[in-house]
Amino acid sequence: MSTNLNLQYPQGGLAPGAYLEKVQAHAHGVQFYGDDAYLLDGLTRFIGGALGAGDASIIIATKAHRDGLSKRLLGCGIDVAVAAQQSRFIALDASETLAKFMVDGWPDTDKFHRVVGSVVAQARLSGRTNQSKLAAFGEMVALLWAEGKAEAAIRLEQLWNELARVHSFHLHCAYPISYFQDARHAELIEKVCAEHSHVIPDESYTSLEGEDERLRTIALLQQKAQALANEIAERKRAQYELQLREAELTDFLENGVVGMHWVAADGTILWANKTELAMLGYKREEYVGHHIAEFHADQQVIAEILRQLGCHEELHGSESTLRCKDGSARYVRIHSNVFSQNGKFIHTRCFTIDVTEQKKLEQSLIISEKLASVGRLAASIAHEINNPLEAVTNLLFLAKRDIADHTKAERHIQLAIQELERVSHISRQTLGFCRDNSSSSEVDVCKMLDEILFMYNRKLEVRKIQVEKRYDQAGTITGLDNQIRQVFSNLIANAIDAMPSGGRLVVKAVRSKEWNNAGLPGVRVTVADTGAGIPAKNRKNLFNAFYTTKKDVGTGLGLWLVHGIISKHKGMIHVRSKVAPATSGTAFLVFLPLNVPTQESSNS
Amino acid sequence: MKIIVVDDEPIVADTLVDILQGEGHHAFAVSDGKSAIRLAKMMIPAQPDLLVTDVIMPGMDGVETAKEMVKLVPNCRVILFSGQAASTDLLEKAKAEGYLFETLAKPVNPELLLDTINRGKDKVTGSVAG
Repeated sequence: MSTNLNLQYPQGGLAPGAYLEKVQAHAHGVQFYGDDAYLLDGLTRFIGGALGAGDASIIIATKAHRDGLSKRLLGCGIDVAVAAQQSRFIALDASETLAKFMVDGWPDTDKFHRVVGSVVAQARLSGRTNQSKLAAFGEMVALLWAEGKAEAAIRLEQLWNELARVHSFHLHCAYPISYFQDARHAELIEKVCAEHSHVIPDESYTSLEGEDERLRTIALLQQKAQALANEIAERKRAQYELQLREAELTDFLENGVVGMHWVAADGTILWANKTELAMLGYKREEYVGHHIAEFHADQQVIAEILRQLGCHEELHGSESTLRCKDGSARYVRIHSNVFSQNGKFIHTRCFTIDVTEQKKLEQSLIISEKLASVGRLAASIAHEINNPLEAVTNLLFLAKRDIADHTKAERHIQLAIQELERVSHISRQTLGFCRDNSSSSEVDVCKMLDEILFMYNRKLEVRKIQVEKRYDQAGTITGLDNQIRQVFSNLIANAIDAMPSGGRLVVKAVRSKEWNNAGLPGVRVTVADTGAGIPAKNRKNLFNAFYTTKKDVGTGLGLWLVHGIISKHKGMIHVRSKVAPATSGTAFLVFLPLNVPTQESSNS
Repeated sequence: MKIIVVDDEPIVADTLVDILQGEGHHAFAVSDGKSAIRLAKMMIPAQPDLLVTDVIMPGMDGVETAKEMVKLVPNCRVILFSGQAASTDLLEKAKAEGYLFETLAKPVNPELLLDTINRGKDKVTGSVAG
């Protein structure tokens, strides 16, 4: 049937009239549309064509679409009101009609045939002749689709098809193409199309004029579809790999053996890994979100750490003590730097290493060394005291034996007194190891050296050591008498020990200036011997605590204490030594400034 | 008795000699082990009857000196003065090797020393048994 209607259709973007003209009877077409106007234009031709030919039409649509259609038909010279009077135009509301046969979200077969079937039958009868055609448009399926009832929509299409086998009519449905924009709709759109005898794609395709153009477009679309499919596959693969990688990294960060956390610029803990939480015994919510200082035992230490990080400094092995949930302490070393963007502090990258076991080991080692040194000290002191005591014991015995001889007795007693003086000296020296709360005084260096040399007189004689004194107006210095005495005494005793079978001991004292800063005036004392000398490799350990080459004598603390005392007096000590047989010997050079800052501080 | 007294503290050696001579012994003081051996050699054909020595001394220690002495003078008796823990080890070792050295703890009581010397006049000498 030809349509020689002079219908004025708005031009551009319309379905070619050819399509609709080719619509056969019993056809069930589906149209996808992007723009409502496109749908209405197509409908106008479809419905308008039917009405103009004297056929009947049914539309089951939304109010907006019904009104839009009526308006356009009017514009084409077709008044739907007139057609309605002739029962050739039936317009029904889509959702109302839908409600009449939907049961529990599913289109009920019997009800559908009763409701929609009766409308169709009625319309067919209204046609002018038996040959009249019926054009129907329904968008109930679209409504179902919009409600997410895809399966129900397809069922409804099937019901329409069943109806079409009973009554013949042209059926046209429409879906907005936007309902199918997801990748998973591909299968569904195929199902929809399968229920229809022909498909009209949306306006972007149907605006193409010729067969060639359309074929070309199809080829291009095929390529695009393939490319998109590839890209989707690629993206999926990349996403999967990213997830794997993320899982790997998360595991690494959370479960690595070292504690890790991020701290914000204001000290708030932003994130901490499982290891750190486990190390300290906190649950995540008891740690993350709190200020890091809450978990450090020493507030000054953490304040300094935060200050340094605030200046974007790197921390390597900063020590601190952390408080665990159960109250115990863990010693840690912190390695940290700052993650910043454009100079802005984002958060720290902190690694916290637990060194508690090592620290405990260190501490117990120190304690056992201290105990051992006390033991050695006690042994050495006992040994040192034994000799004068031995002498006094013998001398008193002799004094008693020779009591009748006054001169002899007196000599014995005098010697005994001298030896007791030695014991007192040793006792005083020993106490010097333990405390040094004496105050500074004027020390006559040369006088002190003479006194010390006198104390060692006998030893020097026995070992046949020549003593050379070179005093050069050294004068006095201000310092702690006991300690300075200890220094010279130690050096002289060591020099004597270095010469078991004779040699020369040189003791010098001169006024001097500090040889480094060349400023401070003071006194330089040299104690030199002609002993075997100190090999270079031993020289670097010389001032270490407990370092000694004397087999069973002494504590090894002598030079260490000497060094400590000299430092306290802001002085300096150097050692020179030669081991070559003919010219061997050692010289200790001590510089002490004239005025010592008085420091009544703790033990040296 | 001819007694050699060894001690690196001169005043101790001297006073010991004084004490022993007061008892009628011929006593000589030296300050180290080497000198004691040299002295003993110089005394030949006369021989020292007794060596009294400190154990801990610089150079040759008392036990070494004693061993050298009995090698030289098998009949020489030895009294050692021990004052430190280390000397106990040395003495133990010597005992294990079969030497019979007598020991007195420092500081030695002169009366005790004299007593020991008198009591042991007939005792076995310090050399290795058998």
